[in-house]
Amino acid sequence: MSEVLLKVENLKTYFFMKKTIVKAVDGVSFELKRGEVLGLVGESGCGKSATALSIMRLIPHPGRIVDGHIYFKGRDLLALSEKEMRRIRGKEIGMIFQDPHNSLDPVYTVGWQLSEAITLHAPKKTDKKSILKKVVDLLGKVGIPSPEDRHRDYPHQFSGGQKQRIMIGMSISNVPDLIIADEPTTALDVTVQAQIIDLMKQLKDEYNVSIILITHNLGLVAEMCEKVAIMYAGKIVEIGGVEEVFYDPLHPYTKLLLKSIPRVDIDMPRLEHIPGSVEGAYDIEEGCRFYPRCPMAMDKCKDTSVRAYSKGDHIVYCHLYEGGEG
Amino acid sequence: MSSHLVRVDNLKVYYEKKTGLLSLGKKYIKAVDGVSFYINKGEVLGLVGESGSGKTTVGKALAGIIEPTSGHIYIEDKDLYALKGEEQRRMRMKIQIIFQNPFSSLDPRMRIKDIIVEPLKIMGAKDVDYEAIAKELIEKVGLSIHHLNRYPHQFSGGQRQRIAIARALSTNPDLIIADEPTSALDVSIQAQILNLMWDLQKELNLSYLFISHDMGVIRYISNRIAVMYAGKLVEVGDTKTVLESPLHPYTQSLLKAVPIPDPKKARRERIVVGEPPDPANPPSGCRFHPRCPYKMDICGEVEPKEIRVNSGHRITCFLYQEK
Repeated sequence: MSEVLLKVENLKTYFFMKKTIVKAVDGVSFELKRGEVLGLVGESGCGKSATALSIMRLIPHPGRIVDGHIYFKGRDLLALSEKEMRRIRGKEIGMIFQDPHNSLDPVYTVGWQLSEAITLHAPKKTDKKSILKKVVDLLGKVGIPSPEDRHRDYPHQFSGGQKQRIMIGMSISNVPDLIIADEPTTALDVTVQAQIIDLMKQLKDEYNVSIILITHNLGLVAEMCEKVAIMYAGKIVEIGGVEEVFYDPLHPYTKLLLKSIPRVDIDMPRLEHIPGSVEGAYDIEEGCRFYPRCPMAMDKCKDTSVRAYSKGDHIVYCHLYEGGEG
Repeated sequence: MSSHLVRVDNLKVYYEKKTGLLSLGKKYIKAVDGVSFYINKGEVLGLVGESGSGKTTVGKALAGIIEPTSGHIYIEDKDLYALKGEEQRRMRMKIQIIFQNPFSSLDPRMRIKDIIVEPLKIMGAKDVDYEAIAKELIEKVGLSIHHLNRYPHQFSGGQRQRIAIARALSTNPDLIIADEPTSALDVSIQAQILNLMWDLQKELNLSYLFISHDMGVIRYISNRIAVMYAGKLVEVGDTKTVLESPLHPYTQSLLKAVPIPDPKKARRERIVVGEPPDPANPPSGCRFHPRCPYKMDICGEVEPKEIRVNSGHRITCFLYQEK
């Protein structure tokens, strides 16, 4: 067994709007081992990005982390000062965002931007030459052709896939322990997406880095992750090994979600669809947030809080499994 | 003469791009460069391709939004762009379009009941009970009559797409062009919309040109598939034939790149290199040749012609040309 790198415990991140409080992340717990890839899956607005930003402590106003712990290499990130946190961001935890076109600054060369990421965390008086060498190495490593020339180019001179490669290069520049990738391929074409996924897999093996892959694409999870957490309306409803969750889904939401994806590899006579929408789910205080749309809903789902039931490492939050192992 | 509902013959759509000092130079972006296909009555043709492949432009030309540079579009054997005035207007009523983004395709200042029947009003339909039509259509797409007096901002993405579908149905069209109608939606909502479109297609014997980059969606909804790359069709055929025995190297690599939501089917093969070309400056010869794993000398020099492998399955690739 390898060590636990990240342990999120009962994380609650709320957004304090003028009239309401949106409980975007409401009691999320999970663990990530070193070298493991966790897929954090859910539909838009389910709190998967808010979970990631909480780990980075980058929740924008009016959001706030109100409760919970985030243990990273044994230290609670939520107890650190902003200065200490800055030493972790970009060094021990790297981040890749969805839109590569917006994550690079158009007025600086990509080489300059990469060197900035390196210099920030490098020992003082590191000479420029060795930083430049590192930049060129990184660009080469992520598959940019002739990096010794292209580091002088500006973002607009690269394609979308290349920009995302550069962002990945930046995220690994300080050899982090954890990379959080928030929909890293959503803005890319499918043939380019496949290349980026291959690159991430290759770097993961090389650096033994852990990855949290935030996505709505269950195909990517199947391809890349060992573990998957399914989120719905601010809560994890099911978490487990990818094979367990895909082949033996327990939560009614996971079951429906898997059957609602049109697949290219098999004929699907008719897609299952989940009736209704997520609207109003965040207002449910005690009961299960999925119950208004759940085909298996029972009376108690409405107002009794759901606890975790586990089958080994496979955990589900659903009243249907009451009486099983708790 | 043919029995096809729609026949597209050597369609070309070029966009002009001004270049150079004082915009004196001119360059053409060949968004669609010689595309031919047909759609039968009651048939769904899936048009797939990556961004910049020209698939949306094909849809817009069919919908009458962009005039083709050359080529013909025949609807029931009448040349859409050769018709004039009233006749063209009537022909256009037979074609409606649903756009990708339901947040920008509905006028925020109009009530739903007015949005739904707007195409009818534009077509100048007289002696019709607009209210009754709006009521019938809103229920057909799974919403209810009390939604009619509301405004678009009061609806979710999925509901808005239902409204857009109701609007498309208002003129009682034969063909609906659906341009990535579910790409902006979550999967569970996508399934609702796809099922609705499937049911309506069967019930009303509609034809769809269904444009998407999602091969799974295309497999689910289409009878036939046309694969586009950099302004040209590279492969056309029955859905099952194209997806299960693709012949064109591009179709093959596209299918290999799609992630399958099944951990045991995870991809192991190496996939195609590079990225789709810039439409302003496409490669010579076969436009896929710089990325093609089976590239031959001829591919970069001569444009391949379309050949028929068996009835209905057509590809444009030198690998299959008679030597």
